[in-house]
Amino acid sequence: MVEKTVMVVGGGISGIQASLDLASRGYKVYLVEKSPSIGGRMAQLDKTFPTMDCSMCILAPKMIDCSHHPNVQLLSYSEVKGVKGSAGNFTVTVHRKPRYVDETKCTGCGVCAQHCPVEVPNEFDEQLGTRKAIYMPFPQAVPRAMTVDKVNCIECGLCQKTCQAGAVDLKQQPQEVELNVGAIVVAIGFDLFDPTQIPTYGYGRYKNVITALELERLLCASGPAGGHLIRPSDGKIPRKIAFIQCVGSRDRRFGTTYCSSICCKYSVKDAVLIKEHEPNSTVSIFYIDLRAFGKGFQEFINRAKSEYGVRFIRSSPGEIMEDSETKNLIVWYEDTVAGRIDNTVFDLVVICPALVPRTDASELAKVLGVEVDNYGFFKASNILTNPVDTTVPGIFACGYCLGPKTGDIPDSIMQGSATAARVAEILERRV
Amino acid sequence: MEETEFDPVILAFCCNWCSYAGADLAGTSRFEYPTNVRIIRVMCSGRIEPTFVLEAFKDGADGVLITGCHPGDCHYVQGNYMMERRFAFIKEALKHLGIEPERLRLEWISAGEGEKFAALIRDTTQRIKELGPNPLTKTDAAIEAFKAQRLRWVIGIQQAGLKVDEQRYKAVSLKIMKDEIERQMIIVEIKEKGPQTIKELAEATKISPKEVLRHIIALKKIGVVSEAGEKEDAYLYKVS
Amino acid sequence: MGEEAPRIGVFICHCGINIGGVVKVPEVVKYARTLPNVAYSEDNIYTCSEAGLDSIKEAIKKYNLNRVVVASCTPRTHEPLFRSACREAGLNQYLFEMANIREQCSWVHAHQPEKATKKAKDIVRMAVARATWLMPQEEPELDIKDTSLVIGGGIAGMTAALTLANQGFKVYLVEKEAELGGNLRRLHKLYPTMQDTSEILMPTIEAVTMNKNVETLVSTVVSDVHGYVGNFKVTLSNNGGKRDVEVGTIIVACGAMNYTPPKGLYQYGEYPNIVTQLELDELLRNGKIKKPPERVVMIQCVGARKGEIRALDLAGFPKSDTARLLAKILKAKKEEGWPYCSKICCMNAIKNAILIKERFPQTDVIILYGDIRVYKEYEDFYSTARENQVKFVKHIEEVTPEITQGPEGKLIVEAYDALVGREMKLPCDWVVLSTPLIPRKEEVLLARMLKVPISQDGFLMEAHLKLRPVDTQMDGIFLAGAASGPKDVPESIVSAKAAAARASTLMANKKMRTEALTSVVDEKECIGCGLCEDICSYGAHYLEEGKSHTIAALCRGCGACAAECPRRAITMQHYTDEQILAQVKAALMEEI
Repeated sequence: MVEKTVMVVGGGISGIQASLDLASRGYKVYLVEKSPSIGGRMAQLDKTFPTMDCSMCILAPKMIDCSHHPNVQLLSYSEVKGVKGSAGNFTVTVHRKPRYVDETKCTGCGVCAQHCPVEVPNEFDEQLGTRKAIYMPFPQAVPRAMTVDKVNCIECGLCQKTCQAGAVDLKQQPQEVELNVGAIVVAIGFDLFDPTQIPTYGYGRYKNVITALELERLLCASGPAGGHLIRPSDGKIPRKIAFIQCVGSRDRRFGTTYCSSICCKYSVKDAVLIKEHEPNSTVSIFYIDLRAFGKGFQEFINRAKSEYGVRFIRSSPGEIMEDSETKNLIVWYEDTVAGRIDNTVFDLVVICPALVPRTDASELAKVLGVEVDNYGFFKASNILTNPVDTTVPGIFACGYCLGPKTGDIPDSIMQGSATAARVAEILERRV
Repeated sequence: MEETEFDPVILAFCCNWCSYAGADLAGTSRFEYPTNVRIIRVMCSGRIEPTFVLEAFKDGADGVLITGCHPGDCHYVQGNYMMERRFAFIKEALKHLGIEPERLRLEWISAGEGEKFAALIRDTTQRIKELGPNPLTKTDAAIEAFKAQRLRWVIGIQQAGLKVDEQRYKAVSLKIMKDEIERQMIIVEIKEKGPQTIKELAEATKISPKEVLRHIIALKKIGVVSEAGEKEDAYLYKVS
Repeated sequence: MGEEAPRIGVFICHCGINIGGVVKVPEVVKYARTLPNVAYSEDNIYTCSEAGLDSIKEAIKKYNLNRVVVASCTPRTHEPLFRSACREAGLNQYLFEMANIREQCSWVHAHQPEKATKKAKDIVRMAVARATWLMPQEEPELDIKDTSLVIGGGIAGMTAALTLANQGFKVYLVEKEAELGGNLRRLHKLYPTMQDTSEILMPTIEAVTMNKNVETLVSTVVSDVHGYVGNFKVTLSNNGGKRDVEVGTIIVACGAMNYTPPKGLYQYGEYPNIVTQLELDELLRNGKIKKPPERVVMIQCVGARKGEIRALDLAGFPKSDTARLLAKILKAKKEEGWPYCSKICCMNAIKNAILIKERFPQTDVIILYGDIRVYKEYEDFYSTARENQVKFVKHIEEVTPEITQGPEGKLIVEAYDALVGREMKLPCDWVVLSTPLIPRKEEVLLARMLKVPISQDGFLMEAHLKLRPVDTQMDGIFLAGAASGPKDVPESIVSAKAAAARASTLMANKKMRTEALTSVVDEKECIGCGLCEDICSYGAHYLEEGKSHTIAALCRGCGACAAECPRRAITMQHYTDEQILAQVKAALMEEI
């Protein structure tokens, strides 16, 4: 039996695109997302390279389309736990975690969060900002509903008392649902390599060594710093900023050997953003090869150099040390072009870590029965001719969970649409 | 009579895709700003005609704010560029009308710039407060000028892509605008106060007699005004 | 204004305490009743709830309302919801207006309840004024033909055609050359699997030829295109003969071509044995290199990343060399070329370097580069090349390498080694120039015919560089493969499948609703000046017999033509002059 229903696992931009294309095609789509809201990594970004579009502005309409589409059923705060069957007829068990809020009643007005006494670091802001125990991950969240973090909740019940819509249900139970689908699309995205694995860079020990994603949140107008870049140790405005490329990428000792494809691009974008905010700052990018390929990118780099004065130093720094009084950082490096060893003091060091498979990717792969490659990414059945098929017929993958590829947003979107085409080929019983 | 603080009314045109969404984000983020602004939503800043702005000033707006997408980001490709080109004309027109050009402002706000929108409203409200109330000079003449084909065509050819040298275009087009506004002022003056001589028209409109003469000749040529008797060794002109 | 007088219903939402906690909602309700044309007014705790929506529907019927205003949150979230409610009660959904008194009032004036209440009244008055002038609108439905045209028979075009054909759609696959295959026909092996291109190409060509849903037309070009999404009329030309076809969607897969340097650039064409990578592929494929070369030098970015001399920080260089370097740089004329990076040339060069080493293990292969742009898992490929003793030398690109003839038929490459910091002279047998993929000339003609714009780098422009990478600004026309920018084989295949997905969605639905808000031309006033036609980004105006007409299917409702028309002959539906000016007046009038 061929079911004209599809499950998409992962609600980032790639999964959203696949869902929209499939839904417009007339198929019913179950979009399963682990966190309380769809949006993924793109929701965390400030601006996208090289067009410098505001990331949320271009993402939000797609998120809203997804939630409004009559053919899309959004299963947020849910996970895939089991899969049986084969192409055309899969049975998937989905575990729906309780958010302790009735999605159908909650209007997302936020009054409960204003009253909640418990404040914890916000994962969406990479722990830099705060949220309450009852929260919406970000203002444009879809579905537009609050979630209770039971781990930190003290069960004082104030949220329930102040909710005018009667939407808080602290006794909500988890649910297991079984769904019949004809095909599955995996779009779970990536995680960042943990830079504490490279002790010489001091991430985790020195407060002013941050990852690029943390920088994005600081630069973002709706982030914890309101778009005014400050450094974590003392809130000072950083004037000398360094970017370190390839941390955990192209590395035989730590991390992985592949190139993550997008770090050179986004670091130049961030450098330009910083220079626009603070024209008097000095921004230096330490790189091995400047991998800024792709449409409009070489031109963007030329502008970064000539118009914005971003400095490029061909070097993989050896060590970062901290001045314990000022909390400034001293970066030791060998400038391979100038041929000398040097050190410079910076206020803020931004690490561009490798993008690696999510920690739960291997478990999902086992559940689905698909193979992963030696890096842990979902393996394409043929890298040249079938780039979005996994090793199990009827299960497809798109976005960064397939591995770096060109890695950027248009690539993820194209892959999302491509999986929709592949699903259509199967469900229309042609190939 | 008690002295009440001047509370200006500011009209803001916002485009649906960028600046209106930015205003919404200011709301979602609870960024507070003064209550003086009234927002009108359009699909694109390219929809906003000069006459809308001039009617707003005519109806008593103390300030007008036009907001749209950042250059390059317009949802309809180039609507914001068109608005930007029109803007130069409206600013010039305000000068002719004795309205401080600073009462009109154009800013680009994206859907993610909630704080920027709030800051813009605070700043604009403050500036308008400092300027004081709308001088309420007659804007009818300018409104009629911007409704007429001649001026609209001249502005329009720039939007479609100039075939003439930029400097020259600027000089010519601004002169046409000035002429059209002054001519409409003369017509309005005659309609309100009856037939007048060139000297009387010059005094009433504050346009130099030499220019009034030139305008009268042009208006006679297209049949809009004609002679209506004599007074003190000069012709009286009426609207035909 | 319609046949009957407006009877407006005004619904003011408390939104819990979000609005009600700041704005005195009952006062606003009372005020609304005093406004002209308002027949009914009520407040709701949550107008968007089931109860609220039911209340609207009941009121429409009970009070014979023909316009509805809801004063609550931003239209950007709930306008569709309230419009549905009106529709369900039998009211045209464009007779509905929202007044934003939350995001743009109560939420930003939380500490000024008096002024916020006054502002809310003003906002409601503005919405009522606009609602008075609203007219019903219809969204025209277009039929979409279930046939597609794919322009270009390379790997991308063939993949798109197959993906559509496999779903049952009929496809015209048009190729200007006499054979299918495109650039892949000239290539030898593909990275990273090192398969022969024929292994990929032959099965695809066979699948296309065998598929009964694909009509392949070789030696054929597109010479004219009319119409719009769902109904394109295309003229195909073939050796003097013409044929018209009607299709619902078009996929442009006309590809890109390899840049051949002009004679003299890097001495190309002046000395033998200076070839492009593509020519090297052909030589390797045909076994034309018989004698093992002693050394092969490859130069990257020939004609790419050029167009300006990039800033160079000379301060780092050993003092003695600086003066000489400077002289050389100043002497070097701006090398002609294209400003962008072509993305695939680094991998391509490494692939060919590995092939040469496999066939001739003793040959010394040196690649001169500025940046090695090998991405994704191909990093391992780069490592393999280095393990096979392929040498990678970073040179200073601004110092254009010079090639001269040496003794015994050798070529001498002179370049400046950036890392060692001195000039080098490399005698070699072959010089291979890595040149970029560049747009085809035919593409400009296609772009004009299809009204698809061209980006700054010369390739066809996608609707949005980030969010809509295979769509174009014209509905129903999509891009696949290198036509929009350099791509390797898997990327071309993915983009082709994506384009096919977008096209098949349109065709599978058989119908499409287009924008209700379109422009309308008053022919009596129109003088045929053509300004609307010139400024419309979507080609939605055309002149016929001295008058302008709107093609509703192409109009997006931006209103620019209405604002510019010298005769004020164009009305922008739902955003007419009267509607906007009514809001202006209402905003500025004193409270009644």
